[in-house]
Amino acid sequence: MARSGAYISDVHLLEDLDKRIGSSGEAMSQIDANVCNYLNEVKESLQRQLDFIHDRLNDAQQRLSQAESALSACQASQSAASAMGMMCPSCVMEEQEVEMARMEVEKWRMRYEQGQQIVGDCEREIAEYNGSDGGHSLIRKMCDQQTPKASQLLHGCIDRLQDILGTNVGSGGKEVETLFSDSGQQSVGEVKSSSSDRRFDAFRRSVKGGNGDL
Amino acid sequence: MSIPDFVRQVQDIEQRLKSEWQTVQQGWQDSVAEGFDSGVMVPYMRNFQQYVTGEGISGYGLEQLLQQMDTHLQQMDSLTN
Repeated sequence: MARSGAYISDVHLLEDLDKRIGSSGEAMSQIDANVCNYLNEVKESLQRQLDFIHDRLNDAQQRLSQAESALSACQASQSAASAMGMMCPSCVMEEQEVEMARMEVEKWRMRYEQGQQIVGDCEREIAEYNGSDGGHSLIRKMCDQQTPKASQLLHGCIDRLQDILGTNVGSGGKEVETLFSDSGQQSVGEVKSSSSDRRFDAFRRSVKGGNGDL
Repeated sequence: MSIPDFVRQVQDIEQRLKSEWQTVQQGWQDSVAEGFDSGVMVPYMRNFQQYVTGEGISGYGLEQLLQQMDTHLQQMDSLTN
């Protein structure tokens, strides 16, 4: 059931909420750092793999070059043998080697292009995350601006409630009866005065009025 | 840390904060709590959802971003094998 009043327990609840907001801000900050590390690790891992593919492409190109040289040498031998009327050596093996080397180069070239595309997509997505309207900015705003602001507003509430209650809550005071009741009826242990009413109303307005919006 | 852990951690933090705030509201359901709810807690809590889902922000939310990274790693693995 809804009630309108201030209890010492309210202050304790608000203090607990304040601690929770503070710890949430710290935890989110840690998550942000972990996510950034993870994204960097992904980028580095992808780049290492792309470098590996590039090395394979270079190796394949080198093998193709060697195979083409061997074929050229073979074909030169054929020409020389033919000019001397001798039996021409076969270059079938060399031709097969060149064909296989070309296929290998083509395979690694395609993989390298696909890898470049993957790295490009990854970098674009991370850049968007790190951009001014991305998730990283949102979490930083939460940690650096909204958490302190929410905490500051809560401290204001707590201070004013303590002032209204006139009790040092931090010293572990005992819960008291409703101080301010909408019904206007005082119960046992209730403390009510027009000046306290005005202070509590001012407090209520200050929170409700949106002055403290994040 | 595995990928779902990040999302689960954010959701855990959100859930704990929500629970704490509900406790405050249950003990103090009046216009003061409502004012603080709409002015402070609702926009603050909304950020957790936006961060995870990507709603209202540029690019992917955390959940989809991490899935994308996982896909990239798998695709690259298939190219190097």
